[in-house]
Amino acid sequence: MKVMVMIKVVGTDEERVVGNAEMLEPMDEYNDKLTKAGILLDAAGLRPSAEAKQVVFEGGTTSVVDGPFTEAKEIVAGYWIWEVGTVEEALEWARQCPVDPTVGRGRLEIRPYFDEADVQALRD
Amino acid sequence: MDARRTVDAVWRVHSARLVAALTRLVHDVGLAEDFAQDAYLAALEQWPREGIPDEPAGWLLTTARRRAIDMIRRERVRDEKYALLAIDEEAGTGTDSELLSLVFVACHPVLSQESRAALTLRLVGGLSTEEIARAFLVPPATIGQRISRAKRTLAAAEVPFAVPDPDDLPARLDAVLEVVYLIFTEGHSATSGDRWIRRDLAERAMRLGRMLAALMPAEPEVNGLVALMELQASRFAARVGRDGQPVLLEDQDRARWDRTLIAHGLGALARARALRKPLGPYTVQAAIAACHARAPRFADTDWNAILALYDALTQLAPSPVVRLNRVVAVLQVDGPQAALDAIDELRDDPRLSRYHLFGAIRGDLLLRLGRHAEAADELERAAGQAPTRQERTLLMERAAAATR
Repeated sequence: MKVMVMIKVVGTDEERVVGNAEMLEPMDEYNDKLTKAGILLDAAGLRPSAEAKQVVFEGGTTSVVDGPFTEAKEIVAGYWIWEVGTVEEALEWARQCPVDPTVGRGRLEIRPYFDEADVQALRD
Repeated sequence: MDARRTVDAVWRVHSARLVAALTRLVHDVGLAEDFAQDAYLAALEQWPREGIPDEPAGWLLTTARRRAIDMIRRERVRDEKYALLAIDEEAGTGTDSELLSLVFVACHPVLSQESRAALTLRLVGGLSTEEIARAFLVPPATIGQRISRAKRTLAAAEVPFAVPDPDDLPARLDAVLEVVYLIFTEGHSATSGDRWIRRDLAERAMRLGRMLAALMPAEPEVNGLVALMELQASRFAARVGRDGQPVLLEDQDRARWDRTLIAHGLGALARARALRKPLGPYTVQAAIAACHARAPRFADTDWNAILALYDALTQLAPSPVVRLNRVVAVLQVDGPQAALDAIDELRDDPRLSRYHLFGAIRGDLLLRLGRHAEAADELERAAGQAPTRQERTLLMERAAAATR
């Protein structure tokens, strides 16, 4: 099964998490572990939300909001796509992710993909 | 959270390196696996009660190592082994070279091919006997016997726990890749039974392949095999119709191809080619699959490139199935009469006489040439040879439609 694993941070912590040079090496090591386990399909870090834009659909109108989104409780700072046997296996890998002790609260969210049977059911 | 599922997941994630580290200590893969299994059972008993340890992999290794030391003390096995165990108290949970050695031992040529596949799934994939049995559609007792016999054979042959020497490496690596691809095709094409795709098994093979590619980055064929598996697997969802019937490449909804797998597969193919060594058969097959993956529509397929690649493959790995697939490329490049001439050259090959795709393709060519009655005969014969119910039904329908 494929899962997307998102790195989520609190808006006010974003500056410390995104582009943190000290985390590059432990992250490289972690990615190396994932690669050697054969589960890593894709990975990316995202630029800070200061460079982000949101398109907001509301009550039939469309507007654009510029970043940064420092008020946000959760900002996606990066993601991986893994192919694992079970969600529990993904949890065991996620648990091993290196963390920066100076950041207050971060989380990894594991989201399984819809598989073909789900999509088929939706189409029917 | 379900503790049993957690223990299983932790086991799945760490068992290969755990067994690899233990094998280096006790010099016997069967014994190492027994100790690892002991640790797994201990985890099943303790973790639900006492909670999951902070370092579950370290916990499993420490526990397994303690069992190993206990046994060695009890049975007073040779002192040198005990000395080694004591020295290695600080060892980690399996280095890359230990993991690789484990793969090469599990796929050692003293074992039969089916034993290699079962042992690899067991030792490297962390699957239980029951899971392997389910995957290969055989009774668990058969797999259990196969695995214990394989372990005895390895011990009797005193197979060293090491990555092969450079001289032996090419042949030994071929054996490993063969096992990985065998596991993949077992999941991909389901040679027996009615299940068209057993995706889990194919995914396991792909993980094994990616692991090997990361551990042996200088070997182009490992990346070639990864690319081949991923590009084929990218079409899984589109390969099966609503009622489970197979959908031909030409008719597949390409929007349902898995773009993540295609991207990763094309990347692996590029890495294989970047090594600038002569292309091996897996890489050439991956290059063929890549021609399909890159074509937005069937009509956009670069058949000239595919035909050239099949010509190369016929030289590298001449097999009747390769020559049969080449016929399909001839059809696209030179038309049905040229393709019929090409397939008729294969007619006398006894390996193809019972292969349903021979009749399926020949029947299709006859149909394109307007020879309906002959086409119907050929398709009916092919239906009788089809290994799955879905393929049989599809071929019968095409046979009936031929003379309608």
